[in-house]
Amino acid sequence: MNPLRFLKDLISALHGGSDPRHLAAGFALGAALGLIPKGNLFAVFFLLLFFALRLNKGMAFLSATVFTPLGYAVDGLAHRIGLALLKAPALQNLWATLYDLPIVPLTRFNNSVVLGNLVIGALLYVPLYFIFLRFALYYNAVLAARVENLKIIQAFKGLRWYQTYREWTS
Amino acid sequence: MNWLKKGPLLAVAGGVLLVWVFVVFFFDSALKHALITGGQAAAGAKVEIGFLRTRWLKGSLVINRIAVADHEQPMKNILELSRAAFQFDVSAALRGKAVIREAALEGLRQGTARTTSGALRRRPPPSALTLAVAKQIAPVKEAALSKVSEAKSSIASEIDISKLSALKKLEEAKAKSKEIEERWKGKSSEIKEIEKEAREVAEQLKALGGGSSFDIFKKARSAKQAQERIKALISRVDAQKAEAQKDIGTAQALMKEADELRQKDLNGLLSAAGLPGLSSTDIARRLLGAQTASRLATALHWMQLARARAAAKKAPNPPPPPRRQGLDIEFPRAHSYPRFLLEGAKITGTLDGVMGGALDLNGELGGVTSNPQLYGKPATLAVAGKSASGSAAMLNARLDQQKDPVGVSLDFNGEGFSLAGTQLGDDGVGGAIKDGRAQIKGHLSSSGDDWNGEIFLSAVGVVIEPRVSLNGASGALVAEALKSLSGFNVRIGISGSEKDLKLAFSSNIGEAVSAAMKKALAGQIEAQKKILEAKLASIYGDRFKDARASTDGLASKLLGPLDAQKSALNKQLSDALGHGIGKTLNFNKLFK
Repeated sequence: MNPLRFLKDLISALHGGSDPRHLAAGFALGAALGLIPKGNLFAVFFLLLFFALRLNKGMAFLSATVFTPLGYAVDGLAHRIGLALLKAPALQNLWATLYDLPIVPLTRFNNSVVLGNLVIGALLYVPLYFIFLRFALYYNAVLAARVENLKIIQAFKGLRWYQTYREWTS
Repeated sequence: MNWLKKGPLLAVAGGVLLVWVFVVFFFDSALKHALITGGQAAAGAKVEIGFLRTRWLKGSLVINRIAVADHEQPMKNILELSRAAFQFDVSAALRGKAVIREAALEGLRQGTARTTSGALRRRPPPSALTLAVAKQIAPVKEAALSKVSEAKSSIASEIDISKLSALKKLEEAKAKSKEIEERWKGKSSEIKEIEKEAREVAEQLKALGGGSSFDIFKKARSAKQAQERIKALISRVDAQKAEAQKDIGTAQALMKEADELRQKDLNGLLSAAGLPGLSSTDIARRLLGAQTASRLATALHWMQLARARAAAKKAPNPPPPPRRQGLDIEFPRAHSYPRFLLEGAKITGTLDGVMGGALDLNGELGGVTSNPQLYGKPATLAVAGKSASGSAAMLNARLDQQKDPVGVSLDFNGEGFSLAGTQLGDDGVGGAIKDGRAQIKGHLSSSGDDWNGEIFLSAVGVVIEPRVSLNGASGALVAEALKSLSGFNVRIGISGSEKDLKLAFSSNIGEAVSAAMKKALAGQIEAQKKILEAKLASIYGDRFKDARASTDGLASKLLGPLDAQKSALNKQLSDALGHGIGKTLNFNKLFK
């Protein structure tokens, strides 16, 4: 649970040392976590997945940070989607059953924005995974070497504390 | 155990640990912050919570010391509780519902002093109700007794003639009289024409006098024609007269206005000299308005808040929710609970310093819910108290949240309220009530946007220590009047809609002060009045006579000739009638 592990994952991703599938999974899951309003069991559930699954946690953390403000931007759309689903006559029995179960209402699935963002996150998961997978492959093949040669990265790697950190984590 | 990998297991355990750490260390703080934020938004003033503790397994929430500041009087708390304990239904809590089976609100106090201001840094703008109360009940500072201490002794020497409106009106009346006179001079041709025609008719009638009796029919016909002509002439004279009278009326109306304005000028000069209007209602508002407006605005604010919150939940098309908050939809099964329900809370407390002694309060609050339709009952609050000295008070509030439109009502009745320490009025005219008891009863209700109610307060055994800074005899007499008051009544009537709230405020406290002021100032007012009247009489004097002479002269100038003409025509007409019925017939010869 070392927080520096996130940083290491990110740096590793930058110089092409990570599995592109782990990077893509981290990015897609981070996006879903970022979109969902916090303070409900869904957020906790996603957080647990975040720790349990084999994915790049640094990328997931970065993605969640980027997608949290985006969640505000898509609030209106999420509210409309969530409200439409919650009021759909065909789903009333399902919602009522879930609402009557213990624990499940704590996910706040009956909130229009929570459900809407969950749906958006789920719908975006697969496309985001594949888009980022392609990007990661391209990055590893073409961009990683260029990034490695950037002066700022060279300067960063030359720092004493980075060297110490590398030795410690390896 | 190949399928169970140590790494991910530890990661999940770490995540769970993080959640647990948050709940243990931060949940209470987050809940406290949420309660303070929500409470402040509702109260419009600071809300303070001393200590808050949740026990998840026991399903309890305990809050120690809750203080809600009064947004009308920031140095006082509208409500203070020493302890509030809530027992949650754990099974409902697992379903995300806050169902409070029972609660105890202990150590209820009202109106306690604060050491720091309870005003929010960003104070919400006053509501329409608060503004209406301020406009119709709050003290009238610049009326009734204003500037009475600055009354001048030599006001007569300061008269600015150019500002006397009556003088302007007199000039207007005079000019109008002249204009009418000139206009009627131009109309002399019409009068001359009538005269000329009247002479012709007279000639015609004269001609009828001769001739034989066999021409009788011819004469009668001619006489009739003459009569018609005379009648037409009389009509023309009448029309002229009516027009003249209208003009004279206009000039006289201007004179009347000038006369009225002379009185207004006199009153204006008296007012400018600092001699007051002495309205008893305004004095009552000055003495009691601040206290009354503050309490009434607070009561109406909470009633409106309760109604608005309940009504918003029932709105068929609710407004878009705030960002990130969304809209919660409930899917209740039969007999299930709403998302939030406070079934019943026992209230105990002591009301100190209000009834002269400690008043032990007992009551119950129940039916507070997030889903009124599902719960189907009104939210009610009933609090009653009795002191050892026999004072008693009761308050019943009801929020008909399940009805459409949502209604809210408040009934209260109490006797033996101590008035000691109550401040009246301001530094100019006011005082402190040293002793006294009040009985207060009232009913306030609101259904939809409509408000209705009446509050009646009767104070007895009142001892007032006056604080009057008016100079001269008036100050002493007002102080004496306040000192001599042993009781007073206040009545407030409320009606109308939220946008057009009508408040009727009446109290007999102003009458005593007003009478004292009148008595004190009667001599001054009379003396000033006499000086002013003499001065005004000398200013108006000749101007008024001139204008009056002009308008009175109009009547004789215009109506005199017309009246003479009309009487001449009437005489001609009677002559013509005589000719028509055979004045020329010699009855003596006929029957000889």
